Amino acid sequence: MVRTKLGRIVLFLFLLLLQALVFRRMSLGWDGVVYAQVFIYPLFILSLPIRMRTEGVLLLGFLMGICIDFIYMSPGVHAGALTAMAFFRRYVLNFIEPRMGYQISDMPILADQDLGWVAIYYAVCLGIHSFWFHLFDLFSFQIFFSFWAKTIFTTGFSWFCLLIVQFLFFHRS
Amino acid sequence: MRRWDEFLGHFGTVLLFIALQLFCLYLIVQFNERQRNIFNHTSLLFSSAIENKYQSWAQYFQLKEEIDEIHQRNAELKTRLRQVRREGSTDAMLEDSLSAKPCFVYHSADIIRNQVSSRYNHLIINAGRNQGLKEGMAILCDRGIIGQTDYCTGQYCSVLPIINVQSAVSAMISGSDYFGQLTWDGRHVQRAQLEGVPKHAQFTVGDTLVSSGYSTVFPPGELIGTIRDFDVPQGSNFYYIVVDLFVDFPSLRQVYWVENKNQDEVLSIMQESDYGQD
Repeated sequence: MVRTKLGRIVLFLFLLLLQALVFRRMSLGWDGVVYAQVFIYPLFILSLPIRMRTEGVLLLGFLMGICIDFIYMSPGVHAGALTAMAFFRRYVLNFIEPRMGYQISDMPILADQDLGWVAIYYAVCLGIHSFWFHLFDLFSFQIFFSFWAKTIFTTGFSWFCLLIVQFLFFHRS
Repeated sequence: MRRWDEFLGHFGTVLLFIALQLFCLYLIVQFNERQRNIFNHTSLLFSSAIENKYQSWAQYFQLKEEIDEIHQRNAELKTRLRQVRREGSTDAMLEDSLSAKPCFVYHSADIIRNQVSSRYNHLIINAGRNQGLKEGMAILCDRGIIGQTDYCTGQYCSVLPIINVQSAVSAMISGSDYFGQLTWDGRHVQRAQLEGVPKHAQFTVGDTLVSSGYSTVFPPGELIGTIRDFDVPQGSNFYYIVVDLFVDFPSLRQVYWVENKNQDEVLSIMQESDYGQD
């Protein structure tokens, strides 16, 4: 599904719809504060080819983010977070590169990599995304506890949901 | 061009990332109500803090100008004060005196060279013929008399201070109207001598000395110093008085030079009547 250009376009639209129609309604919190949201749209950037140029990843991240922003009515917040994640994806990939190195045709998905690698890769990238998102969303360093609680919970829930999506759609048959 | 390519190859991604982030920040601040409020509030805090800092620095660097201006203003006030005193101090006359032509006009100047270590001390000030300064004009500071000009060029002027052994200034003991010649023996920069006060004059240690006004140079009543000590030398009819000067010559920075508008008139009378021929 994600190895061809057409497949990526389909994934793009699929994630957009999924996020807008399903996961936008999923949020957890108490005392009237939303502490956890579920973001699955970073999967689009996460599943781009490992050797893709970062400029392209950045621009696609911005495009995806701005589309999500139109749904969430928060221009710039998701786009900024996703471009940040797209930028740091290269460093994360370099950092967790297996001893053998990546194969040329390798994709960062469960079909090509083992579960441990994918879990770490998703956790770090989603952490960056969530951190950046709440930085732009709260736009303040004053609410320290709330900021870190939101970042951690959102990362956890998104990570969990993304792994399930992986198992459902990208698992080696 | 190649360099530019290399640069883009190295930093293109980072630049693109920063550009996108800035664009996102712009969007956030522009279109999100809450973030915009936070942004406006924070930027106000920062800009006012920076403005404050900048103001205090700017004020510090403007101090010199401010001092000059205050000095200038002081000179004008001194001129006016003397004018008012001359005309009398009742309110009715005050109004007239403000429009009348002043006799002594004060101008400000800076000392650019100051010497106190010699017997023949000289100062140089940064005003000269171009500003209207001439030989034989009074130089004062806020604490009292400094001396008189003795040589002028276009831009600068040399001053013969009280602490030069060649200097002689007519001084009066305030309140008693006895006057004498103030000279300097070349020993102590803070101490001068007053000679020529007759033996029957009444005064005590601590009395103030002011300029007498019996010359065309110094305005009357300018401070000079206080009497430290006095005695009558053997066989003399005049006191020998030691004076503590008010002016601290080593720390002088700014001075006034005084223009006497009536000087030429008085000098011409003195010439007509052969004053001082004997």
